[in-house]
Amino acid sequence: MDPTEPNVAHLLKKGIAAAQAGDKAQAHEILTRVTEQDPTQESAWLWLAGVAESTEDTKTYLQTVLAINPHNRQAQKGLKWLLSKTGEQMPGAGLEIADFSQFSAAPNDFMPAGELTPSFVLTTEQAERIDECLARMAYESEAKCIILADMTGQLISERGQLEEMHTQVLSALAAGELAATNEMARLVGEKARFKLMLHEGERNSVYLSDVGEQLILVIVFQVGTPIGLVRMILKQAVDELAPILVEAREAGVSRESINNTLDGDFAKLLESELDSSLEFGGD
Amino acid sequence: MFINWKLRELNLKIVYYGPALSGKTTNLQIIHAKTNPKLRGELVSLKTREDRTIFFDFLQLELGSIKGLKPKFNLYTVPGQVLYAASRKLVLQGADGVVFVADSQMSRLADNIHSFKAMHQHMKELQLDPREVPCVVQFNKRDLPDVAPVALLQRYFAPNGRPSFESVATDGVGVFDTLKAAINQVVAQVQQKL
Repeated sequence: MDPTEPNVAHLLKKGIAAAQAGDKAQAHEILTRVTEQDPTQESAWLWLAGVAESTEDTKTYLQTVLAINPHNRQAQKGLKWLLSKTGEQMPGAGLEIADFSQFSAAPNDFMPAGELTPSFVLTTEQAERIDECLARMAYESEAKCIILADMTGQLISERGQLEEMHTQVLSALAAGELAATNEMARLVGEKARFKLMLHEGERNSVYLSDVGEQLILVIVFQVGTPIGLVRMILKQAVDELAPILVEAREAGVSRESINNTLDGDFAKLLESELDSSLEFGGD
Repeated sequence: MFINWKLRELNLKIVYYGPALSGKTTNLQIIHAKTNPKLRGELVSLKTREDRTIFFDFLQLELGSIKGLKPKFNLYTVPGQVLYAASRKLVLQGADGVVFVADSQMSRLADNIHSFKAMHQHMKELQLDPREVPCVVQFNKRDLPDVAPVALLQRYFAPNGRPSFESVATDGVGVFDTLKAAINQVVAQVQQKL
């Protein structure tokens, strides 16, 4: 909570005074601040009901009072009266949206809308080049499994004995771990990021490394594999992979072919697929 | 979003965000428990001994091929406790959409508001426009006695017709409706952006 905010009791007094003086807009603003700081302030909600702009608002505020204290007589009476009145006067009236913009999603100071997420598309050819590179690494290093993922935990490519590895989960964990250690680096005043991590086990070890700030390589190998070898192969791979991924981010598959797949049909088919695949039983 | 044209895969990330103990992990547990095991991966939870999420939970859903493209959904939760703000921001990175899980109890309204505001702040820091990020809202714990009226919660968290759902996640009520709406929103947004 913001310590610079005037205390709740004081604000409440001010809000009530404004309501009593007939300044509804001012009262609404102050009382809303009170409820934002302390939503259990029964009397603030009650006064809000009094200065609300529409009957629907009044109803909501009164219901809120009753949610806090079901025995509040004023709210009970008010709501009863309101329901009998609205029953006659406003059948099916829509909910008017009060000015809650100060805490709903409408801030004004955004940069122009860019890409929603750092998304990218791999062409078949790019995916093959990456797969080849990982296959060669796996062969040369005798690694059990090699995974290329991005910083958000998205698995991009994988090679090796994959059956026993939950590679998607490994990607998510690796991304989380690198992100966490990078944050640690920052907190201890380290300017550069921690570039790699090694977890040594009794039978298997895991090596994590970031590739050009955007990507992560995860290598699972048996204990006994010389770590120097893994590092050397890793370095070569990084040099090879980075340009492919830069290319993929910049150009990739033509927008047209994606558009042809991801059209209105796709959304409809997805919806029916969701209905049939996810179990809604007992829901 | 990540598309691998060779494997014909479409990968999307959906993050469950919300204040501590609002039921984010429970949502994932229900999805995991009630979905055909062939379509979902393992549910991974990084949690403390007290069963509180410390970093994130993760679950992957994989649907059958649609028009030659196989959609995969990576579902994450953030840790709700105040302490873990940095982790929340990390998990939010690269999200294609969010589900905001609010605790309906009147006494938790302030926590919900703070969490909602913080989510928008993180989005801005990640150079995302909160108005553009697909978001559906879940009002959880509707079975408890002191819940805030839905109309009030909608004003705070789902103005202008943003999809919102009442739920009792522990019983599975509303969990899949929320997920489906989130998936539909994310896919619609991807189509729009292309």
